[in-house]
Amino acid sequence: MTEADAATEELRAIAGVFAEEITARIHRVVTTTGALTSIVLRGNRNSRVAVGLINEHARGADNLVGSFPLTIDGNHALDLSLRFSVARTPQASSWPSTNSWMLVLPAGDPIPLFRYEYVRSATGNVPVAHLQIHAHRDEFGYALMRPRQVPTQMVEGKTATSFRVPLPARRPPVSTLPGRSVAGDRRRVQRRLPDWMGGGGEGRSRGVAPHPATGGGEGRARGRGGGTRPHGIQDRPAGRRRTNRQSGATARLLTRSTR
Amino acid sequence: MPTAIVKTREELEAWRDRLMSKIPADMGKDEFYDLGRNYELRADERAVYETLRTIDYLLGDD
Repeated sequence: MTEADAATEELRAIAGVFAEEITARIHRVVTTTGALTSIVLRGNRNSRVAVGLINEHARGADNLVGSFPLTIDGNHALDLSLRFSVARTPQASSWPSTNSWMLVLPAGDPIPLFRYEYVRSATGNVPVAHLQIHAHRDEFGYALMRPRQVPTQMVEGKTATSFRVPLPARRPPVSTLPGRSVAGDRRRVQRRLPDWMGGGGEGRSRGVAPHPATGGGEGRARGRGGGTRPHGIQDRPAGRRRTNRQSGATARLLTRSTR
Repeated sequence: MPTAIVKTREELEAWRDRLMSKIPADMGKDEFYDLGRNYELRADERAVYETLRTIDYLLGDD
């Protein structure tokens, strides 16, 4: 085995663990099918890796990047799409994301309800994160409150402005977002969460399970002695970990309905 | 589907060529990419666009 082949195999192993970890995180939060796959270019010097969900067509010749189907009352209502573009930096011993994004689309609709994008070095070495709410005429609220078991009075008056997306104070990486974005009235609807919000399956109700490869959890377990990935792919800038008193604070969405 | 797959440059280029043939004949690559960036593609077209962008990134053509 040549040195290049050995490096490729090492990268494939690391990229595979990363894809498994993010997939497990998604499945702990939402009830869906599918798994992320990392694509590694053999022998590339800059060690680029792309991570996404790949639909395997019957002949396997033209696999296309797909999305996780999200169901409400058993009906396919939304699609969750994620992408991570990772590259090893000359200075770093890990593979931070150069950019990553997640978006949620109504099934069959080209325009996402919302999307979150992260770019590691959009302006010099300053990471940039962007949350875009595309919801119009309260589709966002309608989609979240669509299950029949949600009381009518909870649906009435719901607008995009009444939802909160809890975010850390500083540019959260995409990998932390699944599980953070919930309706503002989460406490009231917690017992009636639709399946795509994880109410009936694994996830919050069972706490955070440690990842088999890292021993660490996610979400609230982060920062409480969870596992680390010192040499793995990281969906965050390399460097000193920041602490901030505002971490966990909620960012009120100021998006107004256009109705 | 394994959690990580390795592609050679030649395989990625061939994959990209096959996908490029799926772009509507009356639409060039630039226009197709513009529509993709603006979320104006149908779901099947968007899958092609996102796959092309992924291949572009791996090949350093992003």
